[in-house]
Amino acid sequence: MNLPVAVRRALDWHEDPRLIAWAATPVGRVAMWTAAALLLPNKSRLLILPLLALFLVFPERRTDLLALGALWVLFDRLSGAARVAGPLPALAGMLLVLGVLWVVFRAARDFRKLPKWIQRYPVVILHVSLYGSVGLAYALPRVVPLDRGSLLWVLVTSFRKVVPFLVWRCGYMILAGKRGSAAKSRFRDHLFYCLPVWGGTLTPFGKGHDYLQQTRAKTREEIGAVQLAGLKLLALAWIWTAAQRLLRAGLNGEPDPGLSGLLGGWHLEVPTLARAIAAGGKGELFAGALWVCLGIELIAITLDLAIHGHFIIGSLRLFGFRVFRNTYKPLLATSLLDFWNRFYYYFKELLVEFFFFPTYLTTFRRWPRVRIFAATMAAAGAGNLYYHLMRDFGETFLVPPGETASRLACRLLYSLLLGLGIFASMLREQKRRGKPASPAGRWAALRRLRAIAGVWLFYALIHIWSVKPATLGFADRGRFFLSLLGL
Amino acid sequence: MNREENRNRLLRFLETICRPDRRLDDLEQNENLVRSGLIDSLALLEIIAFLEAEFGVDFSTTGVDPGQLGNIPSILDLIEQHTA
Repeated sequence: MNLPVAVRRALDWHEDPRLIAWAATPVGRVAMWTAAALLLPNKSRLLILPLLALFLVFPERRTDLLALGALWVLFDRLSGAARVAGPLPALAGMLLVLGVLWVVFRAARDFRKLPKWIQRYPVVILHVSLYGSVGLAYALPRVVPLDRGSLLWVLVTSFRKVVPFLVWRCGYMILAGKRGSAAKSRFRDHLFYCLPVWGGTLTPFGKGHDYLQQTRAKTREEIGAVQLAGLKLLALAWIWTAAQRLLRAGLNGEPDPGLSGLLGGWHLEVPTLARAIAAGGKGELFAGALWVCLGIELIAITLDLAIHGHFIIGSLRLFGFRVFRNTYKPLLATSLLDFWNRFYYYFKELLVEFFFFPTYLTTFRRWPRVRIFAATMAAAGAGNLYYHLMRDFGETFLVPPGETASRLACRLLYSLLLGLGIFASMLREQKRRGKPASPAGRWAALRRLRAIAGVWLFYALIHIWSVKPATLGFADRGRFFLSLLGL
Repeated sequence: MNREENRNRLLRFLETICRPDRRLDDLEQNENLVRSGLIDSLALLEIIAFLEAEFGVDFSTTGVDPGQLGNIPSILDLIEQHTA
Protein backbone atom coordinates (compact mmCIF):
# COMPACT_ATOMS: atom_id res chain seq x y z
CA MET A 1 0.00 0.00 0.00
CA ASN A 2 1.51 3.37 -0.97
CA LEU A 3 1.54 6.27 1.46
CA PRO A 4 -1.30 8.45 0.09
CA VAL A 5 -3.64 5.43 0.05
CA ALA A 6 -2.67 4.56 3.62
CA VAL A 7 -3.22 8.15 4.74
CA ARG A 8 -6.59 8.32 2.98
CA ARG A 9 -7.64 5.07 4.61
CA ALA A 10 -6.59 6.33 8.03
CA LEU A 11 -8.49 9.58 7.55
CA ASP A 12 -11.57 7.66 6.37
CA TRP A 13 -11.57 5.37 9.40
CA HIS A 14 -15.28 6.00 9.86
CA GLU A 15 -16.04 4.27 6.53
CA ASP A 16 -14.39 0.98 7.48
CA PRO A 17 -17.12 -1.71 6.94
CA ARG A 18 -15.93 -3.77 9.95
CA LEU A 19 -16.12 -0.75 12.23
CA ILE A 20 -19.57 0.14 10.89
CA ALA A 21 -20.82 -3.40 11.50
CA TRP A 22 -19.39 -3.29 15.03
CA ALA A 23 -20.98 0.10 15.72
CA ALA A 24 -24.38 -1.50 15.19
CA THR A 25 -23.81 -4.15 17.88
CA PRO A 26 -24.90 -3.55 21.51
CA VAL A 27 -21.29 -3.10 22.64
CA GLY A 28 -20.62 -0.85 19.68
CA ARG A 29 -23.60 1.32 20.56
CA VAL A 30 -22.36 1.76 24.12
CA ALA A 31 -18.99 2.73 22.69
CA MET A 32 -20.65 5.26 20.37
CA TRP A 33 -22.47 6.83 23.29
CA THR A 34 -19.26 6.99 25.33
CA ALA A 35 -17.37 8.58 22.46
CA ALA A 36 -20.17 11.12 22.04
CA ALA A 37 -19.98 11.90 25.77
CA LEU A 38 -16.28 12.64 25.37
CA LEU A 39 -16.58 14.67 22.18
CA LEU A 40 -19.73 16.73 22.60
CA PRO A 41 -19.22 20.29 23.82
CA ASN A 42 -20.24 20.91 27.45
CA LYS A 43 -23.37 22.91 26.70
CA SER A 44 -24.86 20.13 24.53
CA ARG A 45 -24.09 17.13 26.73
CA LEU A 46 -26.88 17.53 29.27
CA LEU A 47 -29.61 17.40 26.64
CA ILE A 48 -28.13 15.24 23.89
CA LEU A 49 -26.67 12.35 25.90
CA PRO A 50 -29.91 11.12 27.54
CA LEU A 51 -31.75 11.42 24.22
CA LEU A 52 -28.94 9.64 22.41
CA ALA A 53 -28.99 6.79 24.93
CA LEU A 54 -32.71 6.34 24.34
CA PHE A 55 -32.27 6.62 20.57
CA LEU A 56 -29.62 3.90 20.58
CA VAL A 57 -32.10 1.57 22.28
CA PHE A 58 -35.25 2.69 20.46
CA PRO A 59 -34.13 4.01 17.04
CA GLU A 60 -37.70 3.79 15.72
CA ARG A 61 -38.74 6.44 18.27
CA ARG A 62 -36.27 9.00 16.87
CA THR A 63 -38.86 11.65 15.99
CA ASP A 64 -40.67 11.34 19.34
CA LEU A 65 -37.41 11.62 21.27
CA LEU A 66 -36.26 14.64 19.31
CA ALA A 67 -39.68 16.28 19.69
CA LEU A 68 -39.40 15.75 23.44
CA GLY A 69 -35.97 17.35 23.28
CA ALA A 70 -37.52 20.27 21.37
CA LEU A 71 -39.81 20.98 24.32
CA TRP A 72 -36.77 21.09 26.55
CA VAL A 73 -35.02 23.45 24.12
CA LEU A 74 -38.04 25.75 24.25
CA PHE A 75 -38.18 25.64 28.04
CA ASP A 76 -34.45 26.36 28.18
CA ARG A 77 -34.84 29.40 25.93
CA LEU A 78 -37.59 30.73 28.17
CA SER A 79 -35.95 29.85 31.46
CA GLY A 80 -34.97 33.50 32.01
CA ALA A 81 -38.63 34.48 31.94
CA ALA A 82 -39.47 31.50 34.16
CA ARG A 83 -36.95 32.63 36.78
CA VAL A 84 -38.60 36.05 36.96
CA ALA A 85 -42.25 35.08 36.64
CA GLY A 86 -42.41 31.49 37.90
CA PRO A 87 -43.21 28.24 36.11
CA LEU A 88 -46.90 28.79 35.27
CA PRO A 89 -46.51 32.02 33.26
CA ALA A 90 -43.48 30.42 31.59
CA LEU A 91 -45.69 27.49 30.61
CA ALA A 92 -48.08 30.01 29.05
CA GLY A 93 -45.11 31.42 27.09
CA MET A 94 -44.27 27.93 25.86
CA LEU A 95 -47.86 27.33 24.82
CA LEU A 96 -47.87 30.60 22.89
CA VAL A 97 -44.78 29.61 20.90
CA LEU A 98 -46.13 26.09 20.31
CA GLY A 99 -49.39 27.71 19.20
CA VAL A 100 -47.53 29.74 16.58
CA LEU A 101 -45.81 26.59 15.33
CA TRP A 102 -49.12 24.72 15.28
CA VAL A 103 -50.74 27.38 13.10
CA VAL A 104 -47.84 27.21 10.62
CA PHE A 105 -47.96 23.41 10.69
CA ARG A 106 -51.67 23.40 9.86
CA ALA A 107 -51.05 25.83 7.03
CA ALA A 108 -48.33 23.52 5.66
CA ARG A 109 -50.35 20.33 6.07
CA ASP A 110 -53.49 21.78 4.49
CA PHE A 111 -51.58 23.90 1.99
CA ARG A 112 -53.88 23.08 -0.95
CA LYS A 113 -56.90 24.27 1.03
CA LEU A 114 -55.41 27.70 1.73
CA PRO A 115 -56.76 30.71 -0.18
CA LYS A 116 -55.08 31.08 -3.57
CA TRP A 117 -53.39 34.36 -2.66
CA ILE A 118 -51.67 32.66 0.30
CA GLN A 119 -50.67 29.68 -1.84
CA ARG A 120 -49.10 32.13 -4.26
CA TYR A 121 -46.86 33.91 -1.77
CA PRO A 122 -46.76 31.69 1.34
CA VAL A 123 -43.22 32.50 2.46
CA VAL A 124 -43.71 36.25 2.04
CA ILE A 125 -46.90 36.08 4.08
CA LEU A 126 -45.16 33.98 6.71
CA HIS A 127 -42.34 36.50 7.06
CA VAL A 128 -44.65 39.50 7.18
CA SER A 129 -46.77 37.78 9.85
CA LEU A 130 -43.94 36.55 12.04
CA TYR A 131 -41.60 39.52 11.80
CA GLY A 132 -44.60 41.86 11.99
CA SER A 133 -45.72 40.18 15.21
CA VAL A 134 -42.22 40.39 16.64
CA GLY A 135 -42.21 44.10 15.77
CA LEU A 136 -45.51 44.51 17.63
CA ALA A 137 -44.10 42.61 20.59
CA TYR A 138 -41.27 45.15 20.72
CA ALA A 139 -43.63 48.10 20.28
CA LEU A 140 -46.22 46.98 22.82
CA PRO A 141 -44.28 47.82 26.02
CA ARG A 142 -43.84 51.40 24.69
CA VAL A 143 -47.63 51.78 24.49
CA VAL A 144 -48.79 49.63 27.39
CA PRO A 145 -46.48 49.56 30.40
CA LEU A 146 -45.83 45.93 31.32
CA ASP A 147 -45.03 44.79 34.84
CA ARG A 148 -41.90 42.66 34.82
CA GLY A 149 -43.04 39.17 35.72
CA SER A 150 -46.68 39.65 34.69
CA LEU A 151 -48.33 37.16 32.36
CA LEU A 152 -48.42 39.62 29.46
CA TRP A 153 -44.74 40.43 30.01
CA VAL A 154 -43.88 36.72 29.83
CA LEU A 155 -45.89 36.27 26.65
CA VAL A 156 -44.29 39.28 24.97
CA THR A 157 -40.80 38.23 26.11
CA SER A 158 -41.33 34.65 24.92
CA PHE A 159 -42.45 35.85 21.54
CA ARG A 160 -39.50 38.20 21.12
CA LYS A 161 -36.98 35.62 22.28
CA VAL A 162 -38.09 32.61 20.29
CA VAL A 163 -40.04 33.61 17.18
CA PRO A 164 -37.11 35.18 15.24
CA PHE A 165 -35.30 31.85 15.68
CA LEU A 166 -38.26 30.07 14.09
CA VAL A 167 -38.83 32.21 11.01
CA TRP A 168 -36.66 30.34 8.51
CA ARG A 169 -37.48 26.97 10.06
CA CYS A 170 -41.18 27.70 9.62
CA GLY A 171 -40.27 28.67 6.06
CA TYR A 172 -39.00 25.13 5.45
CA MET A 173 -42.26 23.82 6.92
CA ILE A 174 -44.20 25.92 4.42
CA LEU A 175 -41.98 24.75 1.55
CA ALA A 176 -42.81 21.16 2.55
CA GLY A 177 -46.48 22.15 2.41
CA LYS A 178 -46.04 23.68 -1.02
CA ARG A 179 -44.32 20.57 -2.34
CA GLY A 180 -47.06 18.38 -0.86
CA SER A 181 -44.72 16.42 1.40
CA ALA A 182 -46.24 17.82 4.61
CA ALA A 183 -49.75 16.62 3.77
CA LYS A 184 -49.49 13.41 5.80
CA SER A 185 -47.05 14.62 8.42
CA ARG A 186 -47.60 15.06 12.14
CA PHE A 187 -46.84 18.09 14.28
CA ARG A 188 -43.90 16.34 15.92
CA ASP A 189 -42.35 15.69 12.48
CA HIS A 190 -41.81 19.43 12.29
CA LEU A 191 -41.43 20.38 15.93
CA PHE A 192 -38.08 18.63 16.28
CA TYR A 193 -36.27 20.66 13.60
CA CYS A 194 -37.93 23.94 14.58
CA LEU A 195 -36.44 23.69 18.07
CA PRO A 196 -33.45 21.45 17.37
CA VAL A 197 -31.56 19.74 20.15
CA TRP A 198 -28.46 19.90 17.96
CA GLY A 199 -28.49 23.69 18.18
CA GLY A 200 -28.04 26.29 15.50
CA THR A 201 -28.43 29.92 14.65
CA LEU A 202 -31.22 31.63 12.73
CA THR A 203 -29.97 29.51 9.82
CA PRO A 204 -31.47 26.03 10.09
CA PHE A 205 -28.59 23.54 10.02
CA GLY A 206 -30.06 20.38 8.54
CA LYS A 207 -32.70 22.49 6.74
CA GLY A 208 -36.22 21.20 7.31
CA HIS A 209 -38.73 18.41 6.87
CA ASP A 210 -37.92 17.28 3.32
CA TYR A 211 -34.15 17.16 3.64
CA LEU A 212 -34.27 15.42 7.02
CA GLN A 213 -36.71 12.85 5.66
CA GLN A 214 -34.45 12.15 2.69
CA THR A 215 -31.31 11.82 4.81
CA ARG A 216 -32.75 9.61 7.56
CA ALA A 217 -30.67 6.44 8.08
CA LYS A 218 -33.00 3.51 8.67
CA THR A 219 -31.22 0.29 9.58
CA ARG A 220 -28.97 -0.12 12.60
CA GLU A 221 -25.97 -0.40 10.30
CA GLU A 222 -26.84 2.74 8.38
CA ILE A 223 -27.31 4.59 11.64
CA GLY A 224 -23.95 3.31 12.91
CA ALA A 225 -22.21 4.54 9.76
CA VAL A 226 -23.75 8.01 10.05
CA GLN A 227 -22.94 8.19 13.75
CA LEU A 228 -19.30 7.37 13.06
CA ALA A 229 -19.24 10.21 10.53
CA GLY A 230 -20.75 12.42 13.23
CA LEU A 231 -18.07 11.47 15.75
CA LYS A 232 -15.43 12.27 13.15
CA LEU A 233 -16.90 15.75 12.71
CA LEU A 234 -16.98 16.32 16.47
CA ALA A 235 -13.31 15.29 16.70
CA LEU A 236 -12.47 17.60 13.80
CA ALA A 237 -14.27 20.45 15.57
CA TRP A 238 -11.92 20.07 18.54
CA ILE A 239 -8.86 19.97 16.29
CA TRP A 240 -9.99 23.17 14.55
CA THR A 241 -10.70 24.75 17.92
CA ALA A 242 -7.07 24.17 18.90
CA ALA A 243 -5.88 25.55 15.55
CA GLN A 244 -8.10 28.60 15.94
CA ARG A 245 -6.77 29.36 19.42
CA LEU A 246 -3.21 28.96 18.21
CA LEU A 247 -3.88 31.29 15.30
CA ARG A 248 -5.51 33.97 17.42
CA ALA A 249 -2.93 33.77 20.23
CA GLY A 250 0.20 33.21 18.14
CA LEU A 251 -0.56 35.59 15.28
CA ASN A 252 -3.09 38.09 16.59
CA GLY A 253 -1.84 38.13 20.21
CA GLU A 254 -5.29 37.56 21.67
CA PRO A 255 -5.12 36.56 25.35
CA ASP A 256 -5.60 32.82 25.81
CA PRO A 257 -5.25 31.44 29.32
CA GLY A 258 -4.18 27.99 28.07
CA LEU A 259 -1.79 29.04 25.33
CA SER A 260 -0.21 32.27 26.53
CA GLY A 261 2.04 30.39 28.97
CA LEU A 262 2.96 27.85 26.32
CA LEU A 263 3.93 30.58 23.85
CA GLY A 264 5.66 32.58 26.59
CA GLY A 265 3.61 35.66 25.65
CA TRP A 266 5.19 35.61 22.18
CA HIS A 267 3.09 36.47 19.12
CA LEU A 268 3.51 37.94 15.66
CA GLU A 269 1.63 41.16 16.45
CA VAL A 270 -0.56 40.92 13.38
CA PRO A 271 -3.78 42.76 14.26
CA THR A 272 -7.19 41.25 13.65
CA LEU A 273 -8.98 42.73 10.66
CA ALA A 274 -11.37 44.64 12.93
CA ARG A 275 -8.47 46.22 14.83
CA ALA A 276 -6.66 47.10 11.61
CA ILE A 277 -9.79 48.75 10.19
CA ALA A 278 -10.38 50.63 13.45
CA ALA A 279 -6.81 51.93 13.21
CA GLY A 280 -7.75 53.32 9.78
CA GLY A 281 -5.08 51.28 8.02
CA LYS A 282 -2.55 53.70 9.46
CA GLY A 283 0.10 53.38 12.08
CA GLU A 284 3.08 51.08 12.07
CA LEU A 285 1.65 48.60 9.61
CA PHE A 286 2.79 48.64 6.01
CA ALA A 287 0.56 47.44 3.17
CA GLY A 288 2.12 43.95 3.12
CA ALA A 289 1.23 43.38 6.78
CA LEU A 290 -2.33 44.49 6.07
CA TRP A 291 -2.60 41.85 3.36
CA VAL A 292 -1.32 39.25 5.83
CA CYS A 293 -3.94 40.39 8.32
CA LEU A 294 -6.62 40.03 5.63
CA GLY A 295 -5.51 36.48 4.77
CA ILE A 296 -5.37 35.44 8.41
CA GLU A 297 -8.87 36.80 8.92
CA LEU A 298 -10.20 34.64 6.08
CA ILE A 299 -8.64 31.56 7.68
CA ALA A 300 -9.98 32.56 11.10
CA ILE A 301 -13.58 33.07 9.96
CA THR A 302 -13.45 29.80 8.06
CA LEU A 303 -12.23 28.03 11.18
CA ASP A 304 -14.95 29.73 13.25
CA LEU A 305 -17.62 28.51 10.91
CA ALA A 306 -16.14 25.02 10.61
CA ILE A 307 -15.96 24.62 14.40
CA HIS A 308 -19.48 25.85 14.96
CA GLY A 309 -20.91 23.83 12.06
CA HIS A 310 -19.04 20.62 12.86
CA PHE A 311 -20.35 20.60 16.44
CA ILE A 312 -23.91 21.08 15.19
CA ILE A 313 -23.79 18.70 12.23
CA GLY A 314 -21.79 16.15 14.26
CA SER A 315 -24.57 16.19 16.88
CA LEU A 316 -27.26 15.90 14.22
CA ARG A 317 -25.51 12.90 12.65
CA LEU A 318 -25.48 11.16 16.03
CA PHE A 319 -29.24 10.86 15.58
CA GLY A 320 -28.79 9.10 12.26
CA PHE A 321 -29.32 11.89 9.73
CA ARG A 322 -26.94 11.61 6.80
CA VAL A 323 -26.67 15.37 6.30
CA PHE A 324 -23.98 17.36 4.52
CA ARG A 325 -21.28 19.16 6.43
CA ASN A 326 -21.80 22.88 6.84
CA THR A 327 -18.19 23.69 5.91
CA TYR A 328 -16.15 21.47 3.61
CA LYS A 329 -12.62 22.62 2.73
CA PRO A 330 -13.64 26.01 1.30
CA LEU A 331 -10.06 27.28 1.35
CA LEU A 332 -9.24 24.72 -1.35
CA ALA A 333 -12.05 25.91 -3.64
CA THR A 334 -10.95 26.88 -7.12
CA SER A 335 -13.93 29.06 -8.04
CA LEU A 336 -16.06 31.64 -6.26
CA LEU A 337 -19.09 29.43 -6.77
CA ASP A 338 -17.32 26.42 -5.30
CA PHE A 339 -16.24 28.41 -2.24
CA TRP A 340 -19.79 29.65 -1.73
CA ASN A 341 -21.03 26.04 -1.83
CA ARG A 342 -18.47 24.83 0.67
CA PHE A 343 -18.11 27.74 3.08
CA TYR A 344 -21.53 27.95 4.78
CA TYR A 345 -23.63 25.28 3.12
CA TYR A 346 -26.85 25.69 5.10
CA PHE A 347 -26.94 29.46 4.69
CA LYS A 348 -26.32 29.05 0.97
CA GLU A 349 -29.10 26.48 0.82
CA LEU A 350 -31.44 28.87 2.62
CA LEU A 351 -30.73 31.55 0.04
CA VAL A 352 -31.09 29.07 -2.81
CA GLU A 353 -34.40 27.63 -1.63
CA PHE A 354 -36.07 30.86 -0.52
CA PHE A 355 -34.70 33.33 -3.05
CA PHE A 356 -32.84 31.70 -5.91
CA PHE A 357 -35.33 29.04 -7.03
CA PRO A 358 -38.47 31.18 -6.62
CA THR A 359 -36.88 33.87 -8.81
CA TYR A 360 -35.39 31.41 -11.26
CA LEU A 361 -38.68 29.61 -11.78
CA THR A 362 -40.83 32.66 -12.32
CA THR A 363 -38.78 35.28 -14.14
CA PHE A 364 -37.05 35.69 -17.51
CA ARG A 365 -37.65 32.13 -18.60
CA ARG A 366 -36.77 32.94 -22.20
CA TRP A 367 -33.43 34.53 -21.41
CA PRO A 368 -31.24 31.91 -19.67
CA ARG A 369 -28.43 34.29 -18.68
CA VAL A 370 -30.73 37.03 -17.44
CA ARG A 371 -32.65 34.35 -15.60
CA ILE A 372 -29.53 33.19 -13.76
CA PHE A 373 -28.45 36.78 -13.12
CA ALA A 374 -31.82 37.72 -11.62
CA ALA A 375 -31.89 34.58 -9.45
CA THR A 376 -28.30 35.02 -8.28
CA MET A 377 -28.83 38.65 -7.35
CA ALA A 378 -32.09 37.72 -5.61
CA ALA A 379 -30.24 35.15 -3.49
CA ALA A 380 -26.70 36.34 -2.86
CA GLY A 381 -27.67 39.99 -3.14
CA ALA A 382 -31.22 40.74 -1.96
CA GLY A 383 -31.75 37.59 0.13
CA ASN A 384 -28.41 37.93 1.83
CA LEU A 385 -29.15 41.58 2.59
CA TYR A 386 -32.63 40.81 3.93
CA TYR A 387 -31.42 37.96 6.15
CA HIS A 388 -28.76 40.10 7.79
CA LEU A 389 -30.91 43.20 8.14
CA MET A 390 -33.60 41.22 9.93
CA ARG A 391 -31.02 39.44 12.08
CA ASP A 392 -29.25 42.67 13.01
CA PHE A 393 -32.36 44.86 12.96
CA GLY A 394 -31.61 46.60 16.25
CA GLU A 395 -27.99 47.42 15.52
CA THR A 396 -28.84 48.60 12.00
CA PHE A 397 -32.01 50.62 12.44
CA LEU A 398 -32.23 51.55 16.12
CA VAL A 399 -29.13 53.78 15.96
CA PRO A 400 -28.66 57.41 14.78
CA PRO A 401 -29.56 57.87 11.06
CA GLY A 402 -25.95 58.44 10.00
CA GLU A 403 -24.90 55.11 11.45
CA THR A 404 -27.89 53.37 9.91
CA ALA A 405 -26.86 54.72 6.50
CA SER A 406 -23.26 53.63 7.03
CA ARG A 407 -24.22 50.10 8.13
CA LEU A 408 -26.71 49.74 5.30
CA ALA A 409 -24.09 50.88 2.79
CA CYS A 410 -21.61 48.26 4.07
CA ARG A 411 -24.13 45.46 3.83
CA LEU A 412 -25.39 46.64 0.44
CA LEU A 413 -21.91 46.78 -1.05
CA TYR A 414 -21.02 43.37 0.40
CA SER A 415 -24.20 41.76 -0.98
CA LEU A 416 -23.79 43.40 -4.38
CA LEU A 417 -20.17 42.30 -4.74
CA LEU A 418 -20.98 38.79 -3.60
CA GLY A 419 -23.87 38.49 -6.04
CA LEU A 420 -21.83 39.80 -8.96
CA GLY A 421 -18.86 37.58 -8.09
CA ILE A 422 -20.97 34.44 -7.92
CA PHE A 423 -22.80 35.30 -11.14
CA ALA A 424 -19.49 35.80 -12.96
CA SER A 425 -18.24 32.51 -11.54
CA MET A 426 -21.41 30.71 -12.66
CA LEU A 427 -20.97 31.95 -16.21
CA ARG A 428 -17.36 30.85 -16.20
CA GLU A 429 -18.25 27.39 -14.93
CA GLN A 430 -20.99 27.08 -17.51
CA LYS A 431 -18.56 27.89 -20.31
CA ARG A 432 -16.17 25.28 -19.03
CA ARG A 433 -18.81 22.56 -18.91
CA GLY A 434 -18.64 19.87 -21.53
CA LYS A 435 -15.03 20.74 -22.41
CA PRO A 436 -12.34 18.17 -21.65
CA ALA A 437 -10.54 18.58 -18.33
CA SER A 438 -7.23 20.46 -18.41
CA PRO A 439 -4.32 18.04 -18.78
CA ALA A 440 -2.54 17.13 -15.58
CA GLY A 441 1.12 18.04 -15.44
CA ARG A 442 3.63 20.43 -14.02
CA TRP A 443 1.43 23.45 -14.65
CA ALA A 444 -1.77 21.92 -13.39
CA ALA A 445 -0.78 22.42 -9.75
CA LEU A 446 0.23 26.01 -10.46
CA ARG A 447 -3.05 26.71 -12.25
CA ARG A 448 -4.90 25.29 -9.30
CA LEU A 449 -2.91 27.39 -6.84
CA ARG A 450 -3.58 30.51 -8.89
CA ALA A 451 -7.31 29.74 -8.90
CA ILE A 452 -7.33 29.18 -5.13
CA ALA A 453 -5.44 32.46 -4.58
CA GLY A 454 -8.03 34.31 -6.68
CA VAL A 455 -10.84 32.90 -4.56
CA TRP A 456 -9.05 33.88 -1.34
CA LEU A 457 -8.47 37.37 -2.67
CA PHE A 458 -12.11 37.94 -3.58
CA TYR A 459 -13.60 36.65 -0.34
CA ALA A 460 -10.98 38.30 1.87
CA LEU A 461 -11.59 41.64 0.16
CA ILE A 462 -15.38 41.59 0.38
CA HIS A 463 -15.14 40.53 4.02
CA ILE A 464 -13.80 44.02 4.76
CA TRP A 465 -17.41 45.18 4.41
CA SER A 466 -18.93 42.53 6.63
CA VAL A 467 -16.45 42.05 9.46
CA LYS A 468 -17.86 42.80 12.90
CA PRO A 469 -18.29 44.96 14.91
CA ALA A 470 -20.98 46.94 13.14
CA THR A 471 -19.59 50.11 14.69
CA LEU A 472 -16.83 50.11 12.06
CA GLY A 473 -18.12 52.66 9.59
CA PHE A 474 -18.29 52.51 5.80
CA ALA A 475 -15.60 55.20 5.54
CA ASP A 476 -13.24 53.32 7.92
CA ARG A 477 -13.59 50.19 5.85
CA GLY A 478 -13.08 52.15 2.63
CA ARG A 479 -9.90 53.74 4.03
CA PHE A 480 -8.59 50.33 5.00
CA PHE A 481 -9.27 49.02 1.50
CA LEU A 482 -7.34 51.93 -0.02
CA SER A 483 -4.47 51.42 2.40
CA LEU A 484 -4.12 47.86 1.08
CA LEU A 485 -3.19 49.45 -2.22
CA GLY A 486 -0.73 51.73 -0.46
CA LEU A 487 -3.03 54.76 -0.88
CA MET B 1 -43.32 8.13 -23.72
CA ASN B 2 -42.18 5.34 -21.39
CA ARG B 3 -39.72 5.46 -18.55
CA GLU B 4 -36.92 3.88 -20.56
CA GLU B 5 -37.16 6.51 -23.28
CA ASN B 6 -37.26 9.28 -20.69
CA ARG B 7 -34.23 7.77 -19.05
CA ASN B 8 -32.28 7.71 -22.31
CA ARG B 9 -33.12 11.35 -23.03
CA LEU B 10 -32.13 12.32 -19.52
CA LEU B 11 -28.84 10.42 -19.72
CA ARG B 12 -27.99 12.06 -23.04
CA PHE B 13 -28.62 15.44 -21.47
CA LEU B 14 -26.64 14.65 -18.31
CA GLU B 15 -23.66 13.72 -20.46
CA THR B 16 -23.57 17.28 -21.77
CA ILE B 17 -23.50 18.87 -18.32
CA CYS B 18 -21.46 16.48 -16.21
CA ARG B 19 -18.11 17.66 -14.92
CA PRO B 20 -15.27 17.18 -17.40
CA ASP B 21 -13.35 14.89 -15.04
CA ARG B 22 -16.28 12.56 -14.34
CA ARG B 23 -18.08 9.93 -16.42
CA LEU B 24 -21.75 9.11 -16.33
CA ASP B 25 -20.93 5.38 -16.55
CA ASP B 26 -19.35 5.56 -13.09
CA LEU B 27 -22.66 6.47 -11.52
CA GLU B 28 -24.56 3.83 -9.58
CA GLN B 29 -28.33 3.46 -9.94
CA ASN B 30 -29.50 5.56 -6.96
CA GLU B 31 -26.36 7.57 -6.38
CA ASN B 32 -26.76 11.27 -5.70
CA LEU B 33 -25.67 13.29 -8.72
CA VAL B 34 -24.16 16.19 -6.79
CA ARG B 35 -22.70 14.11 -3.98
CA SER B 36 -21.08 11.74 -6.46
CA GLY B 37 -19.32 14.73 -7.98
CA LEU B 38 -20.88 14.08 -11.38
CA ILE B 39 -22.53 17.48 -11.54
CA ASP B 40 -22.22 20.64 -9.48
CA SER B 41 -25.09 22.56 -7.93
CA LEU B 42 -25.14 24.95 -10.88
CA ALA B 43 -25.99 22.02 -13.13
CA LEU B 44 -29.23 21.56 -11.17
CA LEU B 45 -30.41 24.76 -12.84
CA GLU B 46 -29.70 23.28 -16.21
CA ILE B 47 -31.62 20.15 -15.26
CA ILE B 48 -34.58 22.36 -14.30
CA ALA B 49 -34.39 24.23 -17.61
CA PHE B 50 -34.15 20.88 -19.45
CA LEU B 51 -37.19 19.43 -17.65
CA GLU B 52 -39.19 22.59 -18.33
CA ALA B 53 -38.30 22.67 -22.01
CA GLU B 54 -38.32 18.96 -22.87
CA PHE B 55 -41.05 17.59 -20.63
CA GLY B 56 -43.11 20.68 -19.84
CA VAL B 57 -42.52 20.31 -16.11
CA ASP B 58 -43.85 23.41 -14.38
CA PHE B 59 -42.09 24.02 -11.06
CA SER B 60 -43.67 27.41 -10.48
CA THR B 61 -46.58 26.01 -8.45
CA THR B 62 -44.77 23.32 -6.46
CA GLY B 63 -41.32 24.90 -6.17
CA VAL B 64 -38.14 22.88 -6.44
CA ASP B 65 -37.04 20.25 -3.98
CA PRO B 66 -33.31 19.81 -4.70
CA GLY B 67 -33.61 16.31 -3.23
CA GLN B 68 -35.98 15.32 -6.03
CA LEU B 69 -33.36 16.25 -8.59
CA GLY B 70 -30.69 14.37 -6.67
CA ASN B 71 -30.67 11.08 -8.57
CA ILE B 72 -31.84 9.67 -11.87
CA PRO B 73 -34.79 7.55 -10.61
CA SER B 74 -36.26 10.48 -8.66
CA ILE B 75 -35.95 12.78 -11.69
CA LEU B 76 -37.76 10.15 -13.75
CA ASP B 77 -40.47 9.96 -11.06
CA LEU B 78 -40.81 13.72 -11.24
CA ILE B 79 -41.21 13.60 -15.03
CA GLU B 80 -43.88 10.92 -14.70
CA GLN B 81 -45.78 12.93 -12.07
CA HIS B 82 -45.86 15.97 -14.30
CA THR B 83 -46.63 14.21 -17.57
CA ALA B 84 -49.23 11.78 -16.20
